Amino acid sequence: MTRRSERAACSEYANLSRRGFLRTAAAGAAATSAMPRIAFSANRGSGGGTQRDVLINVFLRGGMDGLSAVVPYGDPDYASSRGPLAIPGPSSGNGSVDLDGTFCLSPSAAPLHTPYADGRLLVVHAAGAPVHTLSHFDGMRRWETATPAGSALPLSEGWVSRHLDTIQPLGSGTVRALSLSALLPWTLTGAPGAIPIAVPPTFSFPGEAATADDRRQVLADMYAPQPAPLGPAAVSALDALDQVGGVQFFGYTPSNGAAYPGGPFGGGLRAVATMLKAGLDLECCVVDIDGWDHHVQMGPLNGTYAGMLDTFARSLEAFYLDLKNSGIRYTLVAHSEFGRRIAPNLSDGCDHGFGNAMFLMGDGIAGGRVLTQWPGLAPSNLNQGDLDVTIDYRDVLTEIAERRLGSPDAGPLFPGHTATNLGVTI
Amino acid sequence: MQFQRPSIRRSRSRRSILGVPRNLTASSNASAPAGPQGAAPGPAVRQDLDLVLAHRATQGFTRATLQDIRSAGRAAWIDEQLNPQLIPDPAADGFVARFPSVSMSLPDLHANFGTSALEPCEHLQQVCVARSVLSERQLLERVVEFWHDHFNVDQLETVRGRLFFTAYDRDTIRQHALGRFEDLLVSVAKSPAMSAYLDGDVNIVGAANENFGREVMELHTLGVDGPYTEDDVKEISRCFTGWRYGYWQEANPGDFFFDAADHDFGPKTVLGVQLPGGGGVQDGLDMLHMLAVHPKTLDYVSRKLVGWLSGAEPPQAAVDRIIAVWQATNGDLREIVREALSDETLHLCAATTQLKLKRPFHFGIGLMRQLGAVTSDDFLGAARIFELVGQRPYVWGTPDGYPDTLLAWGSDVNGRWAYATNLINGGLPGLEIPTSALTALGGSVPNQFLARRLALEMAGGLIPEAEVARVQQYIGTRPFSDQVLRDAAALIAASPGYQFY
Repeated sequence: MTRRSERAACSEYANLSRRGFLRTAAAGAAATSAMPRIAFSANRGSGGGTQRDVLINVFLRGGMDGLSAVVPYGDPDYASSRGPLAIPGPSSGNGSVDLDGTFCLSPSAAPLHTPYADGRLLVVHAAGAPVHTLSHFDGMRRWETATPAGSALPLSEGWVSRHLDTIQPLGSGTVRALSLSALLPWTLTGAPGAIPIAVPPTFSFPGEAATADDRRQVLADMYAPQPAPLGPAAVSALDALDQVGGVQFFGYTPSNGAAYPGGPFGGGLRAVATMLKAGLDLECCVVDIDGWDHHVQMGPLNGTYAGMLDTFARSLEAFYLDLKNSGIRYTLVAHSEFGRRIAPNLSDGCDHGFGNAMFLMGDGIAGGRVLTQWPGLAPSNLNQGDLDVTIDYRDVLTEIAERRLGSPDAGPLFPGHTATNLGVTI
Repeated sequence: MQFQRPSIRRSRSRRSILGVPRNLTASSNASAPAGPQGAAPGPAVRQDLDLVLAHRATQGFTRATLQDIRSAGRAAWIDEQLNPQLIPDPAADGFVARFPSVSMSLPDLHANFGTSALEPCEHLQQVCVARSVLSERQLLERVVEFWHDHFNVDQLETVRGRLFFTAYDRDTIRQHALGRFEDLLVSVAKSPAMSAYLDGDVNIVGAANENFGREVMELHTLGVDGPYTEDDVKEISRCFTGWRYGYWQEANPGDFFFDAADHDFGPKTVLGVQLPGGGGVQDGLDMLHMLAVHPKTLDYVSRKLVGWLSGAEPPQAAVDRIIAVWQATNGDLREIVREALSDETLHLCAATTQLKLKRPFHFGIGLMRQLGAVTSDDFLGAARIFELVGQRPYVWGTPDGYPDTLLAWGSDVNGRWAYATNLINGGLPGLEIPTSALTALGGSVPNQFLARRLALEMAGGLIPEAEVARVQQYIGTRPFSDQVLRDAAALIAASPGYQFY
C-alpha cells in the first residue's frame, strides 16, 4: 500500500496557488493605474438601510468536510466511523466548543462561536444537493444553477442571476453583483450587472491619469452599441471603476476590533465589508475559498484542514464583528458542493461524500442553533457510505431569497423544486 | 537577456505609404459600420479567408502571417503548417533549449528538482508563452492548446502530478496533436499526469474510482449528452482498474504499467458491449477503441474542433465534412484539421456563425506578437500575469478545460483594457513594447491615418470602421507624441472589434 503515501491531496494549496499569484500580479498591474473620477452616491450607509439584504455567498470549493467543523460528537456512531480522524468532544479539553450537547465546533472553528453566541449564526447540518454526484465541477455547477434533480444536463444560468432578473435593482443597476474572481461563477452567470473583480482594492482604470477621462469616453462610446455580454459588461465595468474605484480600501479600519486574517479569503471579506460600508448598492458578492479536497492527510485538528478552517472561521468572525451594529443588512451563506465520506480512506483523508453543513450568518438569521434532521451515522443510515442529505439546500435558499433578499416568489429561481419552509430566518 | 520577436521567414510584401496593401484596403472599406450585432464586421471581411486563417490558425494575428498566407496561398500555407517538423523555428527552439527541464525524462526531472518542485512547472508555462509568441509553427500551437483543454490536466492540482505534466505536454499532447485521435486518447489514458489528476492510480478492484471513467466518456469522447448511464460509468471504471504508473521509488517511474493485482477481472458491460471476465489490460484498451470510433465521439469532437478553429457553434454541414474526413482517414488529426480550415468549411462557418471572442491568452499573445513585445525575464511575468485575466497556462482546475465561449469570458472587459494598457505602457512584469517597435508599427503614417494603420496592423480589418474612427478622433485632439501612439494602440486593443476574431 505504499502508493497511498504517494498520494497528495488532490487540491492542496500549493505555494504557487492561483490566488497567491493573483495578488502579486494585481499589485504590479495597479502601479500605473489612474484614480477614479467621482465618488458614488451612498445609499446603504450606516443607518440608511434598505429593504433587503445583500447576499454574501461563500463557496468552499472542493468538498469541505463539514463533519470536522461542526462535529456530531454526540452521535454514538461518530467516533467509531471516523476512526483516527474523529475529533473528540468538548470534554476532552481540546478547545472544541459545545453547541447543543450533540454538536460542537471543532477547535479551529471556534471563532464561529462569536456570531453563534449572539444568535446570528445558524448551522444547517446534513444539508446538501438533491443529487449524489461525486464530480466537483458537476456538483458545483448543478448547485449554483439549481439544476433540477432529474435533469441530465446542468443549467447555464445561476440561481442568483434568476433572482436579480426578477427584482428591481437597489441602485442604478449597472453594478449589482460582484465575484471576487477572474471569471464569474455559475451562480452569477447571465446575471444583470454582474462582473468579476478579482481584487477590488486594485480595481482601477489603467493608464495615465491625465488622459483617463478621455480614454474612458472613447471606450464608453465604442461599447455603447455592443450587444450582450460585452456591451453591458462595459457599462458595468465603467460604473464599477467609479464605485469600487472610489472606495478607500487602504487604511480601512474594521469596526469592533475585528481582525481579518491575511490571505485572499480574509482579504476578500474585508474588501466586501469595506465596499458595503462605503455605501455601494451591491446585491450579491460571491467570495470563494477553495482547496478543500482533502483526500490525503486531512489534518482536521492540527493539519492542512485545520489551518484552512481557522482562516474560514476567523474571517467570518471578523466580518460579523466588523458589520455588527453597522445598520448594513446582509445575509452570508457559506457552503460546499458536497461533504466528505464518513470513513477515512487509507491516506488519512476522506473521499467525496454527500450531506454537509451549511453556515448562515446575519442579523436576519434565526441562529444560535444547529438546525438539522440528523439522519445518524449508523451504517444503516448512511447513503452509500455518506452522511445523507435530509435538508435540501434549495429549501434554505428559497427562504433566504424570499425573506431576506426581497424575492417576491423564489419558486422560479429553483425550477422543479417545491420548497419547504425551515425557519432559518427571523 | 531579451528575446525579440523573430523576423518572419517570408519576405513581407511591400507596403503602400499607409502600410495598407490594396487588397486589404478594399476589405477594410467594405466592412460595414457596426450594426445590430455591434462588433460583427461586414460579410466582405468575413469572406476574406486569408484574413480568417491568419486569425484562427494562429495564436495571434500578425500582418506578416497574413502576408505569408496571401503569398503562399491558403492550401499551401496550411500544408506547410501541418508539417511543423519541417518548419525551421530557431527563435522558439532556442528559447526552449535554455530550459532543459522541458526535455528531461521523468527520472531526470525527479533527480534534478524533487517531487514537489515548482520550477519545472513554471518553465513549461514560460515555454508555452514563448512558443505561442515566437514559434513559426503557429497552427501546431493552436492545435496543442485545443488538446490541452480537451484533455485538461491542471498542472498544479496535485503535488505528485507536477513533474508528470512536463511529460504530458511533450509525449502525449504534442506527440499526438496531429496524429491519430485514438493514439492520443490511449496516450492520455496511460499518462501518469491524467492518472494522478483523475485518480486512476487509486482505481482498484473492489473500490473502483469513477473519476477517469466518467470523464473519458463525458469530456474526452462521447460528450456530456452521450449515450451512457451511471451504470456505464461504474462499469467502464472497472475496466481501468489496475492501470497505473511506476512510482518514484519503483523501477521505470512514470511509465504506464498494468497491475494485475489491482485489476477487476470480472465480466463487465459497457454501453451494451459485454466483456467476458479475464480480459485484463485489454478491457480498457477495448473500451478506448470503442470510444475512439463511436459515432457520438466523431460528432462531439469534430464539432468542438471545428468550433475552435473555424467558428463558434458551427453548422451541421461543416461538422459533417469533418466527420467524413475522420471516417475516411481513421481519425487522422492532420487531415481533420486540414478539413476544418478548408475553404469550404470556412465558408460554411462564415455564413452562419458569429465571430468568436478571443480568450484572454489569445488576446494577450496576439498583442505581444503584433506589438513586438520583448521580455526581460524569459516570459516569467508574462505567464503569471495571465492569472489576472483568468487564463494562466495549464492551471484550469476542473477536467473540462478552459472554456471557449462568449458566456464564460464576456463579463470582464476591464481586465482586458488593463492588460493591454499596462502592457503597452510597460506596466506588466518583465514585458516591454519598445518605442522603436511601436514607431515602426504606426509612426510612419500621417497622424490622421494612425488609428486605421494600427487597426490593420493589429487586426487586419476586423475592427469596424466606426470604432477606428472613434480612436482617430481621440488622436486628433492632441499633438502627436509617443504617448499618444501608445494610447491609440491601447484603445485599439481595448475596442470591441479587437476582442473578436
